[in-house]
Amino acid sequence: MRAFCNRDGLLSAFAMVSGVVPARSPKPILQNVKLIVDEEDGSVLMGTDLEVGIRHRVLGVRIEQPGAVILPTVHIGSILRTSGDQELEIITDDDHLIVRGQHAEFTLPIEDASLFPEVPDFAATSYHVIPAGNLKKLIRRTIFATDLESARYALGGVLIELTAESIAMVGTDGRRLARMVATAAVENDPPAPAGTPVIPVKALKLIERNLVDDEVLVHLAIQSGTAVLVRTESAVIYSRLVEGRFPRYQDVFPANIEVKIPLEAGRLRLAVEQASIVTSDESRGVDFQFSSGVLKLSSQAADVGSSHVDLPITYEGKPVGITFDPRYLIDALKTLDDATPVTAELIDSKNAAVFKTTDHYTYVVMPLTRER
Amino acid sequence: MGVIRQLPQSVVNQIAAGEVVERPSSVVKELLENAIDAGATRVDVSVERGGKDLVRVADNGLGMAPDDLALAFQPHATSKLADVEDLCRVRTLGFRGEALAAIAEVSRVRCQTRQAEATEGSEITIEAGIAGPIKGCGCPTGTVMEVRNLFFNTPVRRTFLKSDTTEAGHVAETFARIALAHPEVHLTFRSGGKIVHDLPPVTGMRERIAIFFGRELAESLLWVESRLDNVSLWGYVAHPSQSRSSNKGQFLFVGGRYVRDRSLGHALGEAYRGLLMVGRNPVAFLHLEVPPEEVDVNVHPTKIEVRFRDPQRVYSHLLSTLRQTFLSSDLHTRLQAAQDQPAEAAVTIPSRSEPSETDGGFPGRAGAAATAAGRGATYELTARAPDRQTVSSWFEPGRAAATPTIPDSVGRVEPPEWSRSLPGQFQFAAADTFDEFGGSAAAQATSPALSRDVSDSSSAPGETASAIRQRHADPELAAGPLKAIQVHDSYLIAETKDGMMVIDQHALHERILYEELRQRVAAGKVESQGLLVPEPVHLSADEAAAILEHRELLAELGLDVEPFGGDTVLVRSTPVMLTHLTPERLVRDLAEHVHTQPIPPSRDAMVAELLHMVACKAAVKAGDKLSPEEIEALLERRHLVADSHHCPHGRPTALVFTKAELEKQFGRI
Repeated sequence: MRAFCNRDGLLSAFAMVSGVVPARSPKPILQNVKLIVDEEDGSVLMGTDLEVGIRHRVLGVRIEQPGAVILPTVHIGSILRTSGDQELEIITDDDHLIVRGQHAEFTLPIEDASLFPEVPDFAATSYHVIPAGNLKKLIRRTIFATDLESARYALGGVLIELTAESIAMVGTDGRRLARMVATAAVENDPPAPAGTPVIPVKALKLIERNLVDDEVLVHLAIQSGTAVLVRTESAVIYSRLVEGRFPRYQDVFPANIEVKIPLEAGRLRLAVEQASIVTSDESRGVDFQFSSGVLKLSSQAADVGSSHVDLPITYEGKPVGITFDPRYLIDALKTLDDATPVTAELIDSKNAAVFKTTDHYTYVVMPLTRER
Repeated sequence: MGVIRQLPQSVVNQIAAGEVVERPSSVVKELLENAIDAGATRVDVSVERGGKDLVRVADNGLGMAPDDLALAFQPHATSKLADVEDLCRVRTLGFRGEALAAIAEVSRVRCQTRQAEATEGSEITIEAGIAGPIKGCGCPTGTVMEVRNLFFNTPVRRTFLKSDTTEAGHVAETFARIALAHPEVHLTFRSGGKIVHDLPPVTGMRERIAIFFGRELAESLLWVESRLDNVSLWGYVAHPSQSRSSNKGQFLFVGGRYVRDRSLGHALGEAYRGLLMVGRNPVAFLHLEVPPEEVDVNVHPTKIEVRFRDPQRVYSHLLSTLRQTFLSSDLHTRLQAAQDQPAEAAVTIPSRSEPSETDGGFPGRAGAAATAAGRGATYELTARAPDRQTVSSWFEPGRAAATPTIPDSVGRVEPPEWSRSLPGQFQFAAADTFDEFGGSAAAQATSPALSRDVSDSSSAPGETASAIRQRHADPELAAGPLKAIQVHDSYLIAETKDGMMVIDQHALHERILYEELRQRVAAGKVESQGLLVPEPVHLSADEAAAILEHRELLAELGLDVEPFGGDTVLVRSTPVMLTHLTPERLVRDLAEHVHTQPIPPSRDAMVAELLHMVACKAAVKAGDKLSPEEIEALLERRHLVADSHHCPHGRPTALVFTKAELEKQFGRI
């Protein structure tokens, strides 16, 4: 193989792909990335840890002789970052991989490219189509609520629900739950996936990083209930789904709401952040006292101190008190624009509280209780 | 025709014998107790073949009149009881009037007795319950009971007896129990013609403990004493470093009678909670004085169990007394290095290239003097004597000047000649070492003596030597800047007032965190985080029952559980401080804890269990490298903790090497 690669093109692809490469692996070849240069299909850089895989397009490759090569991640990364050259020449012979710049040349050992596991490409003909901005929002607003430790349920990822008009994602750790719905279109009427497809957090982060331009349409397909494939402009991301059961989350939404309180995301977040300054790991709770015109936040921790924060609100109704772990609220409020109107729906201090936005975001939090 | 018939008296007695007389040690117990009830001040016990052939108990007590003698061996005949009311206030060890009859039924008994005012004694011989005539005889005041050929007429029982040594062991155990309970009685014990114990009367139990269990244990004992209403408790409990794998080391005496009591044994274990490693049992010798009306001793044939009228009160009394004692005591583990290490030392040292005379002859510990003597008395006579003078001459003023750091070094052995010719690799900065003497007029004089001191310590193997480098740290880790070193990223070595301390960083940090958490939790309320999806947890049937039984208590701690059919419980909320644990793990751990406690756990005990889980997770682990600042902070916070001696699981947090022990190790004293 012989090719001249544009350094910037290769570096940007490399940055995405190397994120997937495992630092340690029982299969040492996975610690490398694979570059395929081909006149017809274009050049592709790929990496995988067998759970998640990515194929990323490499731009600006002049091909002298097509082929494939295994690039050692650590060394190639350093070469790409330190080189001042516009173009790097990558040559393989029977024994060596040679990376040559204008003033520098590196000879590296070579490995058989055919031993690198195949990273699946986007082969589906029927799939969902969603603007990158919407998908990004779906991921950001649900991914923080997951729980990687859960043994009982598949909470180490985000549940994805596909309908003909929308994609919904749900993340929960058993104490709070975030659900986001965004509009989407379908291509060739994809079949509804069986079971509950849950996309692992690692893959979601990778997908999110690849969503650069909000307007671009992204293709998403669930492959025979075991894997998810996402095609963006420049990459295809493959991930196995999390095995296991996702709880019946529909049950957690309270049926009979007592009060609805209009709030604003940014101001609420600031108030909660302030009130949470004097909390400790053992005494986390921030008390929320909603009453006409004002929300009083207060917290108290044995060895830290106490705080009182008032937030004017436009609520006229009966007073309600509830205690939350402030981090749960901040996590969600951070994903919202400051001006976003939020409606808090409460029953009492014992039942789950629901926060809703107008763009179909629902966040359910179980309150803290203090008993003695 | 009826098949039920009244059994003849002899059969009745044999059946009773089965309850009271199980083996020779039972006979010893009954006879010894009779002797003590008779007011004896001296009792001689001797056994042959573990008591199978002969049990002889001779006392100098009241004795019996000839008329009583025959009656004494009748069943249900006793001088200790008159009517039913007496049964409720038994002050003697025995009262049932069964033992002698039962023993006489299954052996050959000869009894000689004389009351002090009688002119001659009387004697009776009974074989398998058939009494011979009462004859006059000459004998000293008191009673001599000889029980021969136990179970000779019940061969089946005899075959169940164990070997002579085993039976002798049981007898010795019985003897020890009674000897501990009655230190004021002169007791002797012979087995197979040899004197095993000769215990002159003493005022306290401690001497007897030393005899039976060794000096070391006796020296580690803590005196406990308290009185609550009419229940008084006194005795000794052992330092937590002394523990046993079984509860054999626990001696509880109620009214001078050795008893076993599960609930008090548990109270003892509770008192030591956090001080002993899991699976170890405390050692204790405790007397409980309870008014006879408050305790029923008539529940067990050999009276080894008793019932208290108000067990809960006795339980809490014992528990609180012991806790009080521990809080006011120094419970650092004293390392028994001297016993463990000489072998190592002997192996390590000759590997150095020393002059040939040292080969195989290294004075591992106290052997120094012996070795020196064996090698020739040259420096023993010349060098040592002047050195000793030098030391004592400079040391006296030093001691007066409030630096009691090394009083133990008085009279140390002059280091052998070869130690001075050792390679200098372990020569530490001498100036640092002697800072503590700065200002003392004797400072100059110390240098030569202690330089040798340091070169001597260079013969120490590996770590011990490097630890000595920290000599100049301040006493008891208390005041001033503290220096300690970390070894293997797991242990801290710090100097103390009279030695050094090796600290397990994880154990100490865990303890500190635990105490801090405890204070915080005690001050505040326990927060509980609700679960969106209640989590079912499958437990074993008894665990589920235990958990559900304590639902309300758990709810107070923020763990909301409810039955979910079968052996499944549903968790609705978990304590906030433990949100990193899965509900399942939490419930399982607690279920196990609740289930294994014989008494209902208190809220405090449950909180303690929860806090253990938190502290253990949060503490630095063995293998975490600590910066000097972190070490300092850790050691400083040590004093904030009420019991820094043990981690919450009961492992010791620190081992103390006293200077005396170190010097013993190096063959210096």
